[in-house]
Amino acid sequence: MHLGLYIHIPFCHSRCPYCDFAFVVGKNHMANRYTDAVIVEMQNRMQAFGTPPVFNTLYFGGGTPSAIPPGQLNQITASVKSAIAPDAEITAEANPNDHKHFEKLYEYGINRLSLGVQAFTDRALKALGRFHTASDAIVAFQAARDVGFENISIDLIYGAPGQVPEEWAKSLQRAIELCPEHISVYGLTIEPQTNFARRFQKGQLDVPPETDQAEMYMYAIDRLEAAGYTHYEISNFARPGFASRHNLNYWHDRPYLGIGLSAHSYLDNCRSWNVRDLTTYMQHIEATGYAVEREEKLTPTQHFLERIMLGLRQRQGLQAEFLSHPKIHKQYIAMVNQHLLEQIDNRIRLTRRGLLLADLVCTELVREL
Amino acid sequence: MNLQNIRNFSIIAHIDHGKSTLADRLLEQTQTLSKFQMQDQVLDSMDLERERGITIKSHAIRMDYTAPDGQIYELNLIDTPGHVDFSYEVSRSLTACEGALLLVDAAQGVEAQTVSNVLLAMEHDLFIIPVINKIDLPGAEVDRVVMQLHDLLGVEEEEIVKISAKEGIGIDKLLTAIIDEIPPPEGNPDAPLKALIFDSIFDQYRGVVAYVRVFDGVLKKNMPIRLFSTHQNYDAEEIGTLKLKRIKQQSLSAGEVGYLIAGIKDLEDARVGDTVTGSANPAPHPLPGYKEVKSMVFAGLYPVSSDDFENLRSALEKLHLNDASLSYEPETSTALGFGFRCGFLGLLHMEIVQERLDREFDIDIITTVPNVEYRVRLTSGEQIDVQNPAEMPPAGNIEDIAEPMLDAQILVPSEYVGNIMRIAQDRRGHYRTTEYIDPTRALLRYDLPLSEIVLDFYDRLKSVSRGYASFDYEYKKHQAADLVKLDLLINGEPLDALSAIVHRDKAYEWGRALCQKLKLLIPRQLFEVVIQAAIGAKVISRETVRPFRKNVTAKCYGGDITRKRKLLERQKEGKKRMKQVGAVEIPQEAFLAVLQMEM
Ligand SMILES: Nc1nc2c(ncn2[C@@H]2O[C@H](COP(=O)(O)OP(=O)(O)OP(=O)(O)O)[C@@H](O)[C@H]2O)c(=O)[nH]1
Ligand code: SF4
Ligand SMILES: [Mg+2]
Repeated sequence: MHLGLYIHIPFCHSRCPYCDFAFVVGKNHMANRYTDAVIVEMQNRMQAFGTPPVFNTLYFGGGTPSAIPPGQLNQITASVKSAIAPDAEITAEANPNDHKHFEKLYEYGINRLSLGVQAFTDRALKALGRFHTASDAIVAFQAARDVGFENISIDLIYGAPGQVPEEWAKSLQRAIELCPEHISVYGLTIEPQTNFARRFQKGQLDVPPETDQAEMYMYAIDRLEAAGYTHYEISNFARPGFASRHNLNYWHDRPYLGIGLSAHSYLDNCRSWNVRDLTTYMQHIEATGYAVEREEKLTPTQHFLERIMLGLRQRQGLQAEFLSHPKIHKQYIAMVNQHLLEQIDNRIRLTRRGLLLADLVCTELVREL
Repeated sequence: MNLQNIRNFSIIAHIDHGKSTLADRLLEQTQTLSKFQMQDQVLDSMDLERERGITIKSHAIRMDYTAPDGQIYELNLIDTPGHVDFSYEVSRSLTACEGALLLVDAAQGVEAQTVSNVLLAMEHDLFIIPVINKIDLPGAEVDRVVMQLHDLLGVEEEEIVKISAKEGIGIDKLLTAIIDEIPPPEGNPDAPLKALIFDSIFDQYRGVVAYVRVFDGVLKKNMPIRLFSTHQNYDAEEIGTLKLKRIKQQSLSAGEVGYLIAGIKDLEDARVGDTVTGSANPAPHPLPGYKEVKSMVFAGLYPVSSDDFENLRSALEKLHLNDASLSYEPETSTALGFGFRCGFLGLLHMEIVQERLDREFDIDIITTVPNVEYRVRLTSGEQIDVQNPAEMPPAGNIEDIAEPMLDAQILVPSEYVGNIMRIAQDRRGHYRTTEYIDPTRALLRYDLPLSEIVLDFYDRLKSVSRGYASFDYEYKKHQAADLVKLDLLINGEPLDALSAIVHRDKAYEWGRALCQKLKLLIPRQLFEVVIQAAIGAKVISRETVRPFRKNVTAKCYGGDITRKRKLLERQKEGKKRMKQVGAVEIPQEAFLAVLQMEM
């Protein structure tokens, strides 16, 4: 069986005000114990498979995987070495300030680096509460190239507080000039219970108007496609051959194993996730070897919903058969008439306007299900 | 039983002054119920009555009481509801009685319904025993209430019985007063049968159970009987007296109160107020009946899911079986589909019906904003009654529109008179008189349009009088007024369920408030939504709900999928609960928007 493997590293240098991931700050002294727990969980989960799985991709996400000593990531990789396919895509998310670790990461077999740059203007970086500058990011990118990375992705955020479209264009331009293989472009989302959410509620967060956000997104699509990137998912762009294999695995509804706190797994039509709290995770693992908080068996309808949801997010769209479902077809036609969906050959996808309204289109499409 | 040993009486009072609690004490003292059967407000037997702590239906019960002198008396007690919506229940209970216990809360004093209940009792020529209740309360002001009762009834302090229903103080004295002062019933047991139906309920197994008061003659088991209004003949299958349960008897004779089961299938056929007589030897004339109960407010009830239409019909049918004052007729709305226009006694009644539909029948319904019944004179000379604003004919065909007017009384401490007058003015009230029931309490009388009190009037009264104002009313007549139909349009399409009939002077304010409220309630959609209020072709207010420009989740990776899907499931369920008007989705709350409008 071929699987994607996700490993969560929750440690961060500082707290980003918009972030709602599972992360901890100032607890790097626990990284050792955490690594041990991850290895224990991994071994237990591996034993549960009848035939040993093969991992086509491995992804260290976070948190900030580059924040802990690379040797610890290596211990984890080493513990499943035999299950990793020889041509596997092995990604680590990294913070530009950690560029001193890049050499080791490369040495330990990481072959794809995902750099959390977020912006290439110092104003936007400050507004986002990031602790690196634009030039730090450029230095980090060069460092990654210099140590040998041939597959580098850059994460950018548009719609930072106070951002105007011109500023966004500048960030995007600098990213393109670095010629990364992959760029992810995320609209800033105000997640509940974050520092941004509190400021937003008090009216103290200058979020760009929706029209500006729409403009920034559309601009990014045009600019990146012009620069030779393929738009393959709502927020993701890649040079040919460099689409993230690990993420495509999610969107293609294929199985994955997630290790570490808060990590999700999807095996045998069943999704499960681990506890979200660091100490709880380690205690569970140390006591029982497992830390699953809950699992859910997908009903056929839920499975169908997910496939539509994930299919629509991809630029290649969904196979047309999906939308011939009797409870969807009527809405599908209406969406086509409103120029929100379009059919290209045998596939149905969001139009440009549809991309901006993807969530609404999806809900409308499945409303009768 | 010897007529001399029968006493028939009701307990009347303003809401919450302790009627049902007093009934408890009387039942206890007369050993009608065992300790075992006893609970607080034992006569409030419906779930809703128990939960809300109010009486909705009158309850009759018989007590056999051995007086201190050793004589045995038959006491027929009727506990009545206090809320104004159910005042017709009081009035029909009174026709079965010779006396009434008028309860006044010692801390609250005389309130609006106290006054109107006194008038009702006088209309029925009843002997009134004034009773001050809750004398145990620390805030009791017995002397003040004595004075109020003196002014209201012309009674002296010695004639007033002071009790605490809760603590059981003064109950003996009250029983003595009941026996000594309430006149025994008159009536001739040898004359042809005349029995008044003063209430009726529907029993799933037995059909209609009529509660009757025999005025003349004897009602015997198995005798053939006839109802005056329908001329239908039946057999008196079962008769008896009312305890907590029905107790079968062989006969009920002049002066007595009890029940009758006669194979009557439909409540409509055993009208409250009708007279029962014997088929063999019928009385020449019926007893005077009552005014028929009329629905005061109307609203559309629509199933949220159109699949529930038939369920709603059968639920309303069942409710109607036990509650003849609930009327319903099918209607359709372009916005809401198939539903029913229902008539209610008032807002509390409407709320109770809604709650029962939800609870006993588990049907999700959307209720439109309640309105009153208009009497419309057309230019053709024809006259029609309009119960649904959407059905108001075009202005060009209308000669005039008359609306129901109330005879309203508001009782309030004098320092708040100014505030109350301001509200009444605001609500198009026509001032009539002020009386003082004691030096500090004024009784204001107004002619008020019913439509003006349907929404939040009572709350306003309470809030400008620190809770002290009480309010009571009675329908008076229909009266022409400068009324217009206000339509609500969504992207140019009328939303018929939100049409309203309003006074011309208030139309602008109404239209603006409604549009603004809807703007907050209608979610943003894929396209712009224009909300307009219009009189005929003239738009008087306009708001827009801006369309979504961007609505897309940024990240959807392995750990996000479950959460995203759950959100999608919730949103899709949410959509199922929306009503579609043209292409626009309107949430259910929008149909109740008017209820929460600050005007
Ligand atoms: N302190 C005190 N409270 C009382 C007394 N009598 C009744 N109450 C309380 O007053 C409240 C209303 O009593 P009910 O007997 O339900 O009043 P009601 O007049 O039947 O009310 P409706 O049927 O809704 O008009 C309850 O909380 C009773 O416990 C009393 O003598 N003293
Ligand atoms: S570095 Fe990443 S995971 Fe850590 S707080 Fe910032 S956004 Fe969140
Ligand atoms: Mg009561």
